[in-house]
Amino acid sequence: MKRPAGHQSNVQKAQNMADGTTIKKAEGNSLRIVGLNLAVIALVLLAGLIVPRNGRALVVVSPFASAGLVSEVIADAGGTYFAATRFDNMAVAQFENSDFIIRLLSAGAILILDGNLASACISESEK
Amino acid sequence: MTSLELLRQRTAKGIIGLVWFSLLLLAGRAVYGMEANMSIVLGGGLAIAVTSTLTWWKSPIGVATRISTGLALAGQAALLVYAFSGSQLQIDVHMYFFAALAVTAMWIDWRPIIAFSGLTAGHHLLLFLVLPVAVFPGSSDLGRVVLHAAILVLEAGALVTLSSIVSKALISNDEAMGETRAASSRAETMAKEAAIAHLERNTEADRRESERAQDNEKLQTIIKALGEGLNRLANGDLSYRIAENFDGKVEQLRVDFNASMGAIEEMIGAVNTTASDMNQGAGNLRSKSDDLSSRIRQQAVSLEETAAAIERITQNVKKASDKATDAGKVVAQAKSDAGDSEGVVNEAVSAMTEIETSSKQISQIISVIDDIAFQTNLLALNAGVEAARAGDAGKGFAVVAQEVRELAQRTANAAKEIKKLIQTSSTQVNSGVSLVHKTGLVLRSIGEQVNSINTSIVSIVDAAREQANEISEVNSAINQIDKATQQNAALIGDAAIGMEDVFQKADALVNRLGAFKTGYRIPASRNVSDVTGVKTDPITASVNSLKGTAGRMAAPDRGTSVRAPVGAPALAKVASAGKASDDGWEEF
Repeated sequence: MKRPAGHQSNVQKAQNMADGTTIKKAEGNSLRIVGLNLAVIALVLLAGLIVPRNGRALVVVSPFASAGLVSEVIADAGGTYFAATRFDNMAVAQFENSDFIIRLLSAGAILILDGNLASACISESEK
Repeated sequence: MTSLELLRQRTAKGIIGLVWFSLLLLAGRAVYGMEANMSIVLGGGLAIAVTSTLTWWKSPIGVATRISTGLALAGQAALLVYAFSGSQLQIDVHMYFFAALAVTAMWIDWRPIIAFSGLTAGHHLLLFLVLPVAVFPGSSDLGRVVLHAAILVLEAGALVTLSSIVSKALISNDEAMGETRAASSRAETMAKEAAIAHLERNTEADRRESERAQDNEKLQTIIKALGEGLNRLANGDLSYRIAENFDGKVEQLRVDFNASMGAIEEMIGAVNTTASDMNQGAGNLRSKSDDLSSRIRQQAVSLEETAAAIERITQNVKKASDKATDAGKVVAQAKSDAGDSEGVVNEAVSAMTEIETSSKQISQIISVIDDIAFQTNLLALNAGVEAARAGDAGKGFAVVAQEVRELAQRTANAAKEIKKLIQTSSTQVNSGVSLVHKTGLVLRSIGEQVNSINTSIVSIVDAAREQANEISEVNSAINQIDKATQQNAALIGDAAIGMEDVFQKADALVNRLGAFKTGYRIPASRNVSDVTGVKTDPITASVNSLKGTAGRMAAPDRGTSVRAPVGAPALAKVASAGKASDDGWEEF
């Protein structure tokens, strides 16, 4: 049966809207999947960036603590002081055992990063 | 599924395989020994491989899978470079980026290429700024980053272009293949249909041949039966019917033939009945025609008598009109005389008045005479007295005086009588005057009545004149009716001639219909001879009867009719004739 032009137009519009909704939904779903993959990859790469390796770790303590706290934390954890930075609450420690990280956290460190990241923080004189 | 999709399905498997191969490389590097964190290298590589594999599992060639696998290859290449941190081979491991990018291009889609390149560029820039040792061994500088970036952009551009070209080529190829397959399918379908049609045609031809033979046999039987039926029909036998049933649709032919024969038989029977009715109607028509002829003669006589009566009425009306005119004249004269009599009455009254006046004068004169007689008597008495005194000498005188006295007495008596007569005359004159006045009034009333009579007579004269005119018109109409009656008689004559032709043809029709043999028979009561009582041929008798009727009606015996005495007997005869045929006239 022949439908009126207006009705057919409305049906077409509804179909187009449904198609558009489906496409948007599919695109949103794809975007979420891609985002998930990208998040996993970014997390892995970021972990590779910040996890200490090669026996050196950048130890960060509270910025409101005393100036010698970072040295005490490294010492309490059983590590050695490798290099200072321009910030009093940051220092590069050298370690041999992997449980050093846990000991640092127990001793009062609030963040432990790869020691190589400290290159931006090391003063020119120390270099 | 299109060629592009097939290619992407195979590519997906290869890329997923490459992801897991990269994980093997990372594992090999870990086994070999490395500065990098083993957990990150192996765990991260496994996480990336699992995530991308699950994505592929859910949608093997979807857009998300393509982009995610591109990102996964880039991420694992970055992990591989990270795993070679501190090694002199780290810079060589960068080749893996370009190899993986080339493999990513096998998706034939620009999205994973761009995703791979973007992730690689971002990774390198970030590490160059934050941790150069993670991407480049030894010292690193911006020039190296730019060089790597340029190579990456160049390769990515080339691969995007290549992907676009290959994609279009595959789409075109698919379209061509689709058209080819469709054409092949159509050709195959048509070939099958042609084979089926050929097989059906052969089967149909065999079946038709068999049916044709059977039909020919049946047709011979049918033709024979129909030929017999038509032969009977040609011989006028309409009662024949085909009793044997025909097979199939031809049975309808037998039914139709029998129905046609039945219809023809019924029609011929109906025509026979109609012809018989026509003959019967002929007798009735002749009888009615005779009756009509008689009535027309009577009508002509009545018309003549009516015309004569109207003529007499016309004359009487004219006479009445003339007499009314004369009466009008007499009345006018009477009216004039009445006017004159009024003058006479006036004159009489005047004369009476003069008589009365004269009587009064006479009465006065008589009174004078009476007075003179009284004085004379008185003088005579005195003279007697004087004569007595004179004695004898006065005797003579006394006699004279006595005589005078008697004369005076007699004069007085005569005067009294005359006075009485004059009084009587005066009374009678007064009475006469009164009578004359009454006579004048009566005459005036008579004059007015005469005027009224005159008016009525004038109206009577006018009415009589109009009646005369109307009667003339009636007379004219009667003449026209008379002419119409004569024309009717002529038309009936023509009708009789036409009826003769009709009856001749009806007779011929009856004779022709007699050649047909049908189940219908004409009822005996329909015979014209039985109806009319004439023993001759019915149509001939009807025609002859109509001829006679038409002849009488066309030339009625007007001489006898017109010359017949017009009067009560004639009218009574006509009336009785009309009354005698009232029933027939109503039927007619």
